[in-house]
Amino acid sequence: MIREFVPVLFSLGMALAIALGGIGLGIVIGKVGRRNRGKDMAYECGKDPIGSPSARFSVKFYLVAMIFILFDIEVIFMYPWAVSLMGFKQSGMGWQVFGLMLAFVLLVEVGHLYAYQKGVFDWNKRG
Amino acid sequence: MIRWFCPEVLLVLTGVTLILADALIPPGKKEWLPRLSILLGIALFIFTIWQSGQPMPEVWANLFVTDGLSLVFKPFFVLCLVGVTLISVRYPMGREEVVRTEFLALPFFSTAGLCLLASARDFLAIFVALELVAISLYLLAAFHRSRAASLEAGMKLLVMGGLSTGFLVMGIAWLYATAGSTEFSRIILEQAGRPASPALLFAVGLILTGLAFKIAAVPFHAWAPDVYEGAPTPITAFLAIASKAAGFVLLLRIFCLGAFALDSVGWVFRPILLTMGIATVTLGTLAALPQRNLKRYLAYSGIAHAGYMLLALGTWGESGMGTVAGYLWAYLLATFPVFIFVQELERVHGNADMRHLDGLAQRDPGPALGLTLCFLSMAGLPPLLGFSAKLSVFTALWSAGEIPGLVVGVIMAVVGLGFYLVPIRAMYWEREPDVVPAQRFPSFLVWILLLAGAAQLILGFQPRPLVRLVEKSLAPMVSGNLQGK
Repeated sequence: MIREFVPVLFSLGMALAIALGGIGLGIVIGKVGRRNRGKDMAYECGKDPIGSPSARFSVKFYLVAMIFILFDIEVIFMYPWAVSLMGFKQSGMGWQVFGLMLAFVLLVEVGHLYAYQKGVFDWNKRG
Repeated sequence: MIRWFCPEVLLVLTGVTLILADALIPPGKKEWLPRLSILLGIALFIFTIWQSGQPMPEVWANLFVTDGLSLVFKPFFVLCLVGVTLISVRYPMGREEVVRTEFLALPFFSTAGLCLLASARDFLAIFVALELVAISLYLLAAFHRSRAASLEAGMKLLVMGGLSTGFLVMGIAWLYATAGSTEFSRIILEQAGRPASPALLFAVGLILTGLAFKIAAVPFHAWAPDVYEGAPTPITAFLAIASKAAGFVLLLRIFCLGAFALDSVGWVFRPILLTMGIATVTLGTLAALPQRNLKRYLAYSGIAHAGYMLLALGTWGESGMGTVAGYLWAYLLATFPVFIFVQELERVHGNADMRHLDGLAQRDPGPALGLTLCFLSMAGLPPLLGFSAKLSVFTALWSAGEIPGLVVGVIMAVVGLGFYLVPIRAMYWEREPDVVPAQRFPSFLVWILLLAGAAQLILGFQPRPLVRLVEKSLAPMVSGNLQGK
């Protein structure tokens, strides 16, 4: 029973080793660079990690996040499809099922093209 | 290969084409896109009628079925789409004029989902199709984003729709745990001839709750008036007619034809459906009385109609099923013209307040006459079409021996006559307001409303076409269907 959890313990140890090792190595062999308040913040992306929770930021963050999720889900769908494709091929429906996925990818590509044409990826465009 | 040219696929392709055309064509050269969408909608309607008997693509054989119900209701949904496209073109968008093509393209996706729903035979297919319908509708309800009411409608629809989907998914999960399948025929095979387990009944209850939100049945109706009032009028029409009809088609498919057409389930859920029907008819009728906004008024009227259909469904028999199918067509024919009028009223006056009807008969006798016939048909006054629809509900209740439902139904039909007379009284007996609006109703409105009124009369006297449609909808599998299981 307990033995089954050894891999879990092992991956926990790996995670700790990588995290602590990264920080430790950085301290030991890293070059001390110029520091300022901005560089010491948790995220270096220009967002203040501490502040009012109702702060407003550009709608573009949401748009990009949503489009990211769209393509994410496309890939998730591809896994079961790839696994079961061979089974469909044996029952003679291989091309049909392949065509279905092609149609799905094309549909998502339409969304991508649409977003591109509407300037969602143009970070400098206002509005 | 030819099977891939089914209405659903073409609807999605049309929507995609419109969206791509909107994105790729430079602004200022897009004036013909609304006209194109109307033409494509009409072409799709003709196509749907022409080939609706054809089975769905082979790959989908386990998920979808072609039978009488899908044969009759796919054209129903595409007809709704044509109507919505026709009035969407004239909807005043204000600052959102730039996104008009998207406003026209999204209903195509929603209708594709509705058509899929009409032929689904597996709960997973139902879920995916329902989401396709719902997500497009959330967007559309909030489309007029410079109007706070529209945003509010979209938000309420999103929250309530999400909640109802949650119930539905939970029900499907319980069903899968109990019956071991999400496919209707397997569930029937698995459950037939044995008492229903509590887990199965719980699953059916959850699924019924999820669908009751969609048809706005009491006690899950509270979202309807607010959403209908705030959403753009074409979308209100789509919600009130197509979305509601989809809920009923699903109920028919699940409770009368598929998965839960079991005596053990019916024994528990017949009284529940009848009680919900009684409550829905009563609340819809009584709450419509004080309404002064035409869109809210139509929302409550729709709730009352849903109640009558639930009563018919509660008889748990073939006559009840046919009644629902016929009632939905009668509801479409009587309600849609009124929505067209509501939109023109909003164009002229800025809102759908009922006081704008005052003295309409003196100014515009044509629309007033057509509207009166539609309202009276909704009230179920002989010899109009709505009378045949209500009569068949009462006949079904009588032959099933459901006396309480029958009594409440008849009483509410009489009370309902009172509230349908409110707009008629305003049109014919109220004095015309002193301030005459600068804009007048367009002339096509007169013809549409007169035509609609005439249709109520003609189909009321001669309901044969509708009866034939109902008979068709009760037909089992269409021949030539690749059924397999």
